[in-house]
Amino acid sequence: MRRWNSLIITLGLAGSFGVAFAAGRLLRAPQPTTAISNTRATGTQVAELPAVTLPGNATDASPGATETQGFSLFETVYGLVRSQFVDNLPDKNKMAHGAVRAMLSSLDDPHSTFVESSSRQLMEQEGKGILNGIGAALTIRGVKQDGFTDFRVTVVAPIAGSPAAIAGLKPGDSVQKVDGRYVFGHSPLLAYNRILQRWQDRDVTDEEVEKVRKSTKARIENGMAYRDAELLLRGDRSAVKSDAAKEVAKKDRFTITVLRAGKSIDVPVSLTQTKVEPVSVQPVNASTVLLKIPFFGETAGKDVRAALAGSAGKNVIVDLRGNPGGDIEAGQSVAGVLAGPGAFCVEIGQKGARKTLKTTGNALKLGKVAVLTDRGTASVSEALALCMLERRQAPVVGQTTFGDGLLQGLYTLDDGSGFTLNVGTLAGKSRGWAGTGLVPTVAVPTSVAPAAVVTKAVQALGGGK
Amino acid sequence: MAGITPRRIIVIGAFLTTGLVLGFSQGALQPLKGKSSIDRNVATVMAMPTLFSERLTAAFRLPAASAGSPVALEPYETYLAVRDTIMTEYANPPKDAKANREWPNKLNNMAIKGMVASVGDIYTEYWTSDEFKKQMETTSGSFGGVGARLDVRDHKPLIVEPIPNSPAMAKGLMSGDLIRAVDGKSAVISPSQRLDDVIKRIKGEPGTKVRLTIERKGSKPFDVDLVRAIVTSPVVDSWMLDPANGIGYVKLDQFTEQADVQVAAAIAKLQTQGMKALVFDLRGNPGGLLTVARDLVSRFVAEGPVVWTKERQGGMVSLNVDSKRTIPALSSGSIPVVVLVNGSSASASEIVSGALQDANAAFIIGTRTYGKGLVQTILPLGDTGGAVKVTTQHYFTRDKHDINLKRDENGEPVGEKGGIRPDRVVPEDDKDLDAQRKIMREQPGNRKAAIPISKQVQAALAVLKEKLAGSPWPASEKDDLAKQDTGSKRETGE
Repeated sequence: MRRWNSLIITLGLAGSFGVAFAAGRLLRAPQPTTAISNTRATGTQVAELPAVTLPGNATDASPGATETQGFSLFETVYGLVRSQFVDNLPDKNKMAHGAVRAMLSSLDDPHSTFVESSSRQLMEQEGKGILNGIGAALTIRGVKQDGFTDFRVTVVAPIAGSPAAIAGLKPGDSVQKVDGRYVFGHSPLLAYNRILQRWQDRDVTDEEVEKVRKSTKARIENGMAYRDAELLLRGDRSAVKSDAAKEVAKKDRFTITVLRAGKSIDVPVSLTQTKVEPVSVQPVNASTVLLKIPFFGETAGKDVRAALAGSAGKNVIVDLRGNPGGDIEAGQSVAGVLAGPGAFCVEIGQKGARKTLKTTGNALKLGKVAVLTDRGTASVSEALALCMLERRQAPVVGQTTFGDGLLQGLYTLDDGSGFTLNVGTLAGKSRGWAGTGLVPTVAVPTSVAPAAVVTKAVQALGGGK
Repeated sequence: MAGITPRRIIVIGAFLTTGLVLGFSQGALQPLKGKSSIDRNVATVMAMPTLFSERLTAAFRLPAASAGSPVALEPYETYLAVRDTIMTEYANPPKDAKANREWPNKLNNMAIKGMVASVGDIYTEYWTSDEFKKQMETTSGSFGGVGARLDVRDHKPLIVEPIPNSPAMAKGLMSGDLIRAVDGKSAVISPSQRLDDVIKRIKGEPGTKVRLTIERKGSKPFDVDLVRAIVTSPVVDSWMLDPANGIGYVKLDQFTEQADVQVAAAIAKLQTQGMKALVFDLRGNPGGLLTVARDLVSRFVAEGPVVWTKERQGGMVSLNVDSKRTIPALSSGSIPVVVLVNGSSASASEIVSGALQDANAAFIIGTRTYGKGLVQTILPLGDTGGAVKVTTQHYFTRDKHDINLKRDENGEPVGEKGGIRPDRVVPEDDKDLDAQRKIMREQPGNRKAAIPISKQVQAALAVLKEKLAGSPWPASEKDDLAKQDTGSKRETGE
């Protein structure tokens, strides 16, 4: 194994599951906007903007557009390729996708990416708590390595009962190999090009270059980009690009190699459908109930309100262990049930612009609130935990949380495809948690049995016994 | 005619460079060998050149608006909407002020590159104005500089030789001189200053001045002031390879604007030295200008087509020999010619070797060529833009053979094999090439050193000696496919 100089520079959830999604985010683009519309992650409704027809000779007055005698550069090049290319062209949708893909890839942000229409449907299913892969929320972490940023598929939390949970995957595990094939987090060509530069400077011999070239070629041919690994583990088998990933996609079960605490561990996994457990309430003692929220699906607010209907006046222990996040609107409405109108969290957007996201709905009459967290508590869950701490002085009991503050937008295009965009970072009023996690007010080591943690929470609420 | 300047340039080069990495393209992973890696000079170091010509302009029209289904995306509108979304919503726009100002342009350029890449042809691409300028420098073979072939020794730029008629030659720079500084700033090669960086500082607008600090054996370091000029790097190397038998050797590195004139001059010079036979080396030559390929074929063939081209619409059109250029001794066969090719001989090289083979004007030795039967046209986009290079034509050899080898987006061959198949297959394996590189390393100023030990050159000499002794050309192996495949496999070493 090589030793990395590791420094986490970005942090957030990949794909849709477990991501804090920006809801109701309408395009602010002036016009024309026919091609794009925005939807919520959990997306039952798609907010379509009115179609604007672009006149044939329209000019692009937006900043940065280069004009050539009345035509934008883009239109000019498009027209030239269409009229001059020697063979038939792909359809317009594919050419539009090419443009969108390239713009997004130039951001070099693993959380801003083009999404094929089949993948988008799968993401929307995930938003409802139905997973088709190994059944774990995944994120992409960027790690600085040899001067490159290496993007790694990282487990946030396995879902109860999923193949990932059965296999014993842990929050923080990063995927090194899938079915014995390398997963690379940056192009192996970057390192090769660096060697080529040195070759030109007579710094390395032809033989050394040839060795690196062969190993790079083998890596590329037998390996896959991190994006493909993520798609495989999420069960989005048809979207993978590399030959290696296509081979793996034919299998229902295979072994993955993950890096955990500096060690490589082989873990057998399978691809199958897992449904996230529903919100549930159970009594802890006469004055306290345990509210389990495994995931913020679109109906979480309504579900929590219904589940707590018979618990008036009682203390509530909110169990967010292993909850990787989800729809931020669902978080806002759960916070409304527990804390009433007011702030939920803060969204930090472009140039540090802060925007307070408010809770929705009125509070139920409840007693005190405590929160249970662990390393798999991420994103919207972290927002809720901090909101409870800030607004209900809730003790936070358990372990430091995952530390994901990414807010990702999911946008759809008219043909059913779409793209995700990193639109901001979530934080609390008093502090953030992105990259660091939220430190509990009552730390409980992982060695303590889950049921005993609940007892700690009861004690923290002053319930004695 | 939306902003399209009337000048169009046809390119049929084996371009593998692309500024856009959407996936993990393997195009850059070609082996060093056979890619003229042995030659290092200012103009061609690390460059993958091309082939060009003028053609009559066709009318350009924007596509008519189509009715479209409700789900169809218009690429332009989609680009605009997505770009605006990114610019207003994306959390981390570039922080640096300059990068931030350039951001809309960068997104614009990326969108165009992505849209063009979606066509699925690796030779069709969009260049920004900077990229375009660089490409033109490579394809014209001319640039503003001082005119010296460079290498590296002891971590300093080494002058391998000054180019004839250049400022470097005029000021007496010599083979073996080391450059210690450029304009007073260190020229020492380090991880933070590559040879490319030093070359950039030496190059510049013609008429401007540059001061080089030179280390030369036996004297103290001294300064030389040079005025930059347009330098045309020689693409031809030639000498009497076998004086005893009168066999001359001409090597062409790429088909720049000057290539035909330089080859003709080299042949004329060899003829005055009593040349009886010629080895014309196109190995590792990636192509260049189409019209120059035509001019060159005209030297060897007296009449008829050089190549046939076909656009998406329309029939085959021939490009014919320019008889004014024909060298009778070559076209009549009184000076027999062997052409050397390998897997890195592409486009214009294939047109020339294909035409000469079809016309029985030369005997081809080496390995199956690259297989690029496509012609690109470079369409400059006016002052503001760069250019778009579009594959506009298929081409076929003089006898209408299709030599194109389809390649996927990574540049890897798919489907039927193409290329020009030599009349005699002579592969060179890793060991042979390593031996040649070793000699080159040991004798950096001596370009001739490695040539005589090449098996392909040796085969050419043997065949030509037989021919001069009165034998006919040996039987051609071009239709022996099993043999052809062995040759190409060994060559790429995969």
